[in-house]
Amino acid sequence: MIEVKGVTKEYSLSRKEQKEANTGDQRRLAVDNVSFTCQPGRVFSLLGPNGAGKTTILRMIASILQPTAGSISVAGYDTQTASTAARRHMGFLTGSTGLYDRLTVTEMVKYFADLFDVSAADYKERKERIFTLLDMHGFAGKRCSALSTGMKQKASIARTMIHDPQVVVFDEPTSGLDVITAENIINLVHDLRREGKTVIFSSHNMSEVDLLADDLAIIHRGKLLINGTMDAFRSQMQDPSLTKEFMRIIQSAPQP
Amino acid sequence: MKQILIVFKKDLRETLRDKRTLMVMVVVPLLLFPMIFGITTKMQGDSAKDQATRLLKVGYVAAGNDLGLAALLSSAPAMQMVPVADTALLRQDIRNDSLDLGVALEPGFADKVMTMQTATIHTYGALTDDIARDRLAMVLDLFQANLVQNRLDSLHIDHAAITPVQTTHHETALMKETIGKLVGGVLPYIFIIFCYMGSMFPAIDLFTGEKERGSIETLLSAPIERWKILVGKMMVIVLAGITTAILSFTGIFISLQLVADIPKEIMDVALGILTPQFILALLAMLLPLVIFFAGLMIPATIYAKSFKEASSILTPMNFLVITPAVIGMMPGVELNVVTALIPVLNVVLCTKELIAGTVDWGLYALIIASLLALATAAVTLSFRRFGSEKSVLRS
Repeated sequence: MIEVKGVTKEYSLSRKEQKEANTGDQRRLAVDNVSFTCQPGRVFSLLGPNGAGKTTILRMIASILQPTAGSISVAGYDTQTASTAARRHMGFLTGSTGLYDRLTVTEMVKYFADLFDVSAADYKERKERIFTLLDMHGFAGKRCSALSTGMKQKASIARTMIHDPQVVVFDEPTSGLDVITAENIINLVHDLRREGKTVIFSSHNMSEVDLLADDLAIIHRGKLLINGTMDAFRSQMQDPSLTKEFMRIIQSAPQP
Repeated sequence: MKQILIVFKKDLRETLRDKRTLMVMVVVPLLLFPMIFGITTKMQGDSAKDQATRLLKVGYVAAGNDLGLAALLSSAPAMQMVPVADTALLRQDIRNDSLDLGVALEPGFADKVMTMQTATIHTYGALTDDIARDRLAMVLDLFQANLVQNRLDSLHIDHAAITPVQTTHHETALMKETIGKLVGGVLPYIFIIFCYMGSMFPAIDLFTGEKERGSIETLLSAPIERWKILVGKMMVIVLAGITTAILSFTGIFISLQLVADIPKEIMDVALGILTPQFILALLAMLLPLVIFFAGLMIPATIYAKSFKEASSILTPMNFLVITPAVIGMMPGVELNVVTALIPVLNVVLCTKELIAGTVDWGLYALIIASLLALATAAVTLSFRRFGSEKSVLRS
């Protein structure tokens, strides 16, 4: 489970950044008092336009960033006071595959298994299962630099799942991917839900949200505009098109 | 410790597969440097030999009786005397390279010499042709010595009468000391520069590279404290720096073996340097120095968004290393309490003393202490920077 309670994230701006942003403010509010809960066995979608604060929230859940205020717990562990334990139960898949070009796929997956302290027996079993599931045996010994985009995405998934995390965080996982590769991710999300994992993913693609999400939060300019189940959202839609409804909500949001 | 080693092993494996790093760490110091050193030294030696033995064409403008100078010039080894009508023509012939040098006697040369006056011999040539000028000067010095002796004979004066004092130098320094003080600075200059270069590329690859590839977020979401990631990566950078320094040191000795003209006594001294005590003393200085380098590089590589940006920050930092290394090679710059506190300069000066066998172990201890203090400060800076959300995720 993921519990986000009253989380705020502020960044201090350097003079150069103030100039670039054309503002005199010394601080920028990226996330403003956001709260939501992601339940096990359900897929939670964090939806918002570019720059809304989605990645910042996911990075705080992954304890890569620390909240300025509020608290987050992952699998029962506070991400500020027990960040290592929280990370141990979480898998984080970013939109950029971010592989190590000079390692083979197996070496890279083993590296993360070691970092997550996966036992040799568990590693062997999980690697076999994931590599078979994603049809990765054919390129397991290849260096990551020699992989196609689809292969890279599969390697990235294997790395994220090798420690069998309870909570899985996807940051725009299908962004920039072809249809076939994106399908791998979508199938993975379905599998994870069936296995009872807690899944959160960010997206600005409404059709993807429609396909995957059980629960939904819409965020804009760091503020949560909508938070609830997908069914409740659908029942309250003022426009039959999900995309148009999303646009309507964003456009009707109060100006800062 | 286990997690640090996991990071270290993975990053070392990646580093050893990086062609750019291998080129700077192994190929350049161990192969390219000896090759370039060998070729340039051989070319220099061959050129000096050629200059010393090639036929020198000396234009000669006589003025009546020359008291045997023309004959002396003609009899000098590999020297051809070419009569020239006047000095204008002489200058022209030298400028168009048909002559190497020129000699012209002033009018009434013989009369002045014979009447105990001072006559002038004008020489012509280019400043840059110093070996040729030295060869001509030797002949003219001999001519002068003969004339002086003739005058003394005619005046019935013994040569000792005009030589009240003569100085004879007796060398007290051992050959090892002399070589250590004279050329000992070159050795640390080379291995310190290589050490810096050798640690620079892994530093960029292991920090900026993680950001550029987008793998930093995944790594930071693993259950490992940031300081352990930093230490694991830093260990690779330090190992790369030390290895490059050792290989460049080896490269220097390979270079010396390749150059056949080095006198045996110098070679014996060079090879005699490599005692276990010398190597240990050097490594003890090198280790905190490389940690210091790494500690300075890491904040820059964490901040940089791309390899290009990191290079543009770290390359100018080269000068911070080169400048004290060059100062350390200058004659008269000695190891003392002040210079022992200046990083790089202290290692260069201390290496000179170690080679010469004249190191003051008190100052050596001060150097180690100051380098350790600097290394600690630099590592602290790295920790802070690696803990900074803005720097690590700057994109």
